[in-house]
Order: sequence, then C-alpha cells, then structure tokens
Amino acid sequence: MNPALSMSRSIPAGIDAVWLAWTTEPGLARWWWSTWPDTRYRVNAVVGGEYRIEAAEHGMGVRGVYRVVDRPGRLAFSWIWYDLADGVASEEPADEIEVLFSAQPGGTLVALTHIGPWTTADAAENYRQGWAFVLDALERATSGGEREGISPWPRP
Amino acid sequence: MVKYSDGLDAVATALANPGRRQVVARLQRGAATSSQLADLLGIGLPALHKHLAVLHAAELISSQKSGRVVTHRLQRDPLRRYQAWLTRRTAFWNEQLDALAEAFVAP
Repeated sequence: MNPALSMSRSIPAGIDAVWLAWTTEPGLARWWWSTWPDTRYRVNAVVGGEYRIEAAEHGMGVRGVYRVVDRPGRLAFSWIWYDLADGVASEEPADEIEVLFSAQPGGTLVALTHIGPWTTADAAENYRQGWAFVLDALERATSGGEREGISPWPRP
Repeated sequence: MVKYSDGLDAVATALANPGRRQVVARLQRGAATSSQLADLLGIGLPALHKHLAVLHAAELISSQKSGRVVTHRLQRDPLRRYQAWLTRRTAFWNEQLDALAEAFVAP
C-alpha cells in the first residue's frame, strides 16, 4: 500500500537534473508554483541552510531548514507553512520532509515522505500506522457505505 | 488552514498505538463498555483506562456511566479533521510531483 504520506513519482529526467530542480532557485522556478506569476524562491541547499518559497498573491508560503543534503540521492528538510492573509504571517509547526532520488530506466524515481509535527524519531513508524489507519477509514468513507470493519493496522 | 489548536497532535498521538486504534475501530461499529474493550484488547481495566484517557484527551470518545457500567462512543469530528489534514497534504504533494514531471516533458 501507499503508507499515508509517502508517495513516489517517476520523472522523465536524469537524476542530476531532478536534483537541481529541487535544490536551486532556477530549478524550483520550473515547477514549484511556476504558474503563479509572483512566486519568489530563496534557496541555500546546504545542511542548516534555509529555503523560502513565497507566493504573495496567494498569500501563502513555505519555509524550512535543510537537514540532509546528500547529492544526488537524498534531501531532507523541515517544512513550515505560513499564511500571509491580512499581512500577518501565521505559521504551522514544522513538519519534516524527506525526498529520495534514484536513477531508473528512462528517468528518476522521486520518493517523498511527509511527517507531521508531532513525531519523535523512534515513534515515526507508529505515527505512520496511525496515518494509514485514518486514510484507510477515509478511503472507505469516500467509497460509500458504512465505515465498518476497519482494520486497526495498515493493509499490507 | 488547519490549526494545531484543533488538537491534531492529540489525535495523532492517540492513534499512534495499536491498542487504541483497535478501540477506535471497534467503536466505529457502535458503542462498547469498558469490560468489552478490555476483553477485546486482552488487558485489564487499569491498563484500558490509560488508553481511554488518551482517547478522551483527543476527544475521540465520549463515555457515559450507568450504574457500574461505563459505555464509550466514538466522536468522529477529530477523526475527520485529521483526515482533512492528511488529504490536504497528500493533494498538495500529488500536485507538486505532477508539476515536476510535467516540467521535464518536452513541449
């Protein structure tokens, strides 16, 4: 199954090109909110460096600090949404993102994990199972009928 | 935007335990008493009460006492808020990864 907030996508480009698309300002500008005219990018992709992507017109942004910068295979960073509504920034606590890149025939596989702000490292698997449980419930709820017989554990 | 004052961290903590997920799954099928839940989990009442306290803190269950029997019911709103949090982020990353893939497709 797709355990909660882990997902992957095949990208039709070489691993170095995909790495640059995640870790440089011109790279991010090609795809991250790229259709919004006023998106601004500030990126310092070194461990402890900061990034900030802001779309003023939409009143939102995301910022964080790089935890792991292991070119071209692994990137990890904190993730803080902020809302610019009414000129006042309101922030959510930091989530954590990890992105793994691996070469595959015809391109690069990008595997992403998004972890909520409540986790501690050793409990991550438990939280993932909690997510899977809720997503499972959601899937059943949206596929119609009563939400009965939901397994308390993620499906294999 | 979902705020953490909504208690999502408490919900996540409550669900980060197999026993408590079992309780929630059971209560999705209808109300149950403390003894029934303790039997289901194969634990004693004191241990069950610790789990129930965590579920109460997340406002995932409500309990009603009648004589010596306490009956527990699932409160679905916190679960729905948690689902909303998850679906919002899942939708976000799906969209971003689509955009990333499209950026490399020849025009």
